[in-house]
Amino acid sequence: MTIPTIFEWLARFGALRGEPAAYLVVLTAVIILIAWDWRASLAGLLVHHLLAWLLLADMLDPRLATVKLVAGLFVCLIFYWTARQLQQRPKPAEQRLRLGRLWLPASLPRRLILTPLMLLLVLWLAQNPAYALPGVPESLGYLPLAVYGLAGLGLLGMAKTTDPWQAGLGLLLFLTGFDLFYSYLDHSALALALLAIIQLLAAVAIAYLAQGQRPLTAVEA
Amino acid sequence: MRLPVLLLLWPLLLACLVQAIGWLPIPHRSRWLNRSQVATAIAAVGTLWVWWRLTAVSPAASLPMPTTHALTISSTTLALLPSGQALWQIIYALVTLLFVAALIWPQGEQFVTGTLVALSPLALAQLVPILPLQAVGICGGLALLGLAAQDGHAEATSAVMRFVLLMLLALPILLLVGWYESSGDATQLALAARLLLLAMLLLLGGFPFFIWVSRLVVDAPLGVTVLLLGVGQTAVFAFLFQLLTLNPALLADGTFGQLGRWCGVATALVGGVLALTAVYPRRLLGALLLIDIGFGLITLTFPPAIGWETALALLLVRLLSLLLALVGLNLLEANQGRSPFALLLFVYSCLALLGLPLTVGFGGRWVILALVAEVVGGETAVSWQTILLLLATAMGTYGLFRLLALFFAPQPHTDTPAQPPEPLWLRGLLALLLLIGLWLAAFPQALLSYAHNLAALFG
Repeated sequence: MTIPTIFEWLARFGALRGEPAAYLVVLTAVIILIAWDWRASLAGLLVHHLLAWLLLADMLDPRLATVKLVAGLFVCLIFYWTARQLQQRPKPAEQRLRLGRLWLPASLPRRLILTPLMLLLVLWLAQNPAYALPGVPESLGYLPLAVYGLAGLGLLGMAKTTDPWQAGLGLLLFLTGFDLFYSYLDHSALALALLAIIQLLAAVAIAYLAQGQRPLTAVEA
Repeated sequence: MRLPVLLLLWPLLLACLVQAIGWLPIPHRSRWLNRSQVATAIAAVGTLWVWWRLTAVSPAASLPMPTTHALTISSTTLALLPSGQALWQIIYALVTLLFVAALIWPQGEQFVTGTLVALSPLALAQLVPILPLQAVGICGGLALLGLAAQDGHAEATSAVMRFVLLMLLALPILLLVGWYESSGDATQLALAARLLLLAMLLLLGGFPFFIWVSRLVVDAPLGVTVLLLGVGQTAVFAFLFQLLTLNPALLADGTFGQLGRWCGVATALVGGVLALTAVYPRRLLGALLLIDIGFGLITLTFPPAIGWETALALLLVRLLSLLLALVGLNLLEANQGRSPFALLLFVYSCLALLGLPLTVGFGGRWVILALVAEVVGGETAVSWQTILLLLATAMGTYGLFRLLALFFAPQPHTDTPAQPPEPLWLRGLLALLLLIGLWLAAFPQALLSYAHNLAALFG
């Protein structure tokens, strides 16, 4: 059995490339923002990085795009470890809503209202020629949707919470949106490396803050 | 060893050493262990500072720089010009003073290590002539300073999180500024100027991104406030003015100056309103710092030569005021507000931050108000912006005196024991600090001419 090459993997995902990937990447961003369980957020983040890879492969050499995918997978790994460690620490008191048998976060209704509003704004921006991304050709007409969608939803994610975990996910969405745009503008190795390093450092900073918010108990210390 | 290598690697090596001391397997870790960490850092940073002063290149030195002060890596020269050297000597001196303060009032376990680690990327922003790397250096360095602030202070997480997020948001925007600016197209230059304004507001905590400033002053140790709003913002101003000097086309966009000034005015007004409602010294300090940040933002809209000189005067006053406030507030909090000398020191630092007449901050503020009036409304007209800036200052002053009235209000009878009088050495030290402040207020030319000489090095 041989391991498929990067190009073969891309060919297998051929049906998803282009416009479907742009819509799906925005959809995963919505799931990441709305999900209240860390497992769902993390699964969304993983799929999100895979879809971003498909979009990046349209602009960059697929081997370079794969470097970004690997950086994204490391980000998911950092978040997984952080979430597992946070599970063992006392959770700050949080207001909850009861819906039948389910206990939901009190912030969920706010998220459910604000996210569709942001999506409407994003769709309007992406289809309005006055707000076309400078320098992007018509052949990549789906790129503004992905860029505006990720940037807008990321900013919403950062603005609506004081929890480092949630805000961090928002930051990562924003950075991926920027990455898609900047990778088209600047193909240099320096830009590629810088953007990958920024994502990794942002993930480490978020993990540090999330753990700092819930200090170690006396037993752990 | 070459200076660029020293500036990039020395703080990192020192951070490793300080951290290693902290990991020593000593049972019953005493406070002396933490103090020995801080003392090591003071000794090492202080030695570097003295060595640097002795070997500094004369400002009159012509380019190219001596080989000891430059380093070439794959055709990119890392060099610290005399202007950068003077600025970094101030930063290193301030960091040493902060470490001395941390010896007396511990600021958190990672305060020293985090500060040392952050100095390296901040220096990178000054050394390397490539904008993307400069942006990574400045934003990464500031984010690291923020993380150092959060250590051991769970209550400061919210403020630090906002700070770190905003710094990381500024980074992609600066990368876009570099790309659009290099395109040379007029439309894209205008876009670059507006994006640069956005990045400035994010980095400096200007309106509407001021949310972290007051929270940070209230929730984090005061040394951290000095670090982020003093050392950090000095590095940011140096980076921004360097960018504006090298790319004068960015300033040609009229919207940049106009919007920048209005954002500065709005920041100062928000600070004024917050000062009106402040009932604790730390809240008041946060509000007054916002007013100062508002004035600082306005300097970035002036032609770089004048703006940098004014900003330096403003920053020197802010550094001095924050150091005085650090001593005064720590003593006030330790003595439950019953320390007349410490209160005097705190009040003096607030007055200097407000830039009132007969204080050290007056000179810089006067220059800014005069320039705003000149740029906006001509030499004789008084603009709305000037009036609003004066209003913000007035609101800050009212807030300060309102807080003082609360201090001097008769306290309900309690059984708390009377505070012991301050020791003689402390009273002597506080009196000396006050005298320095008053001397600088009486002869503001000393500070302004220092700022002028420093700015002249930048050409």
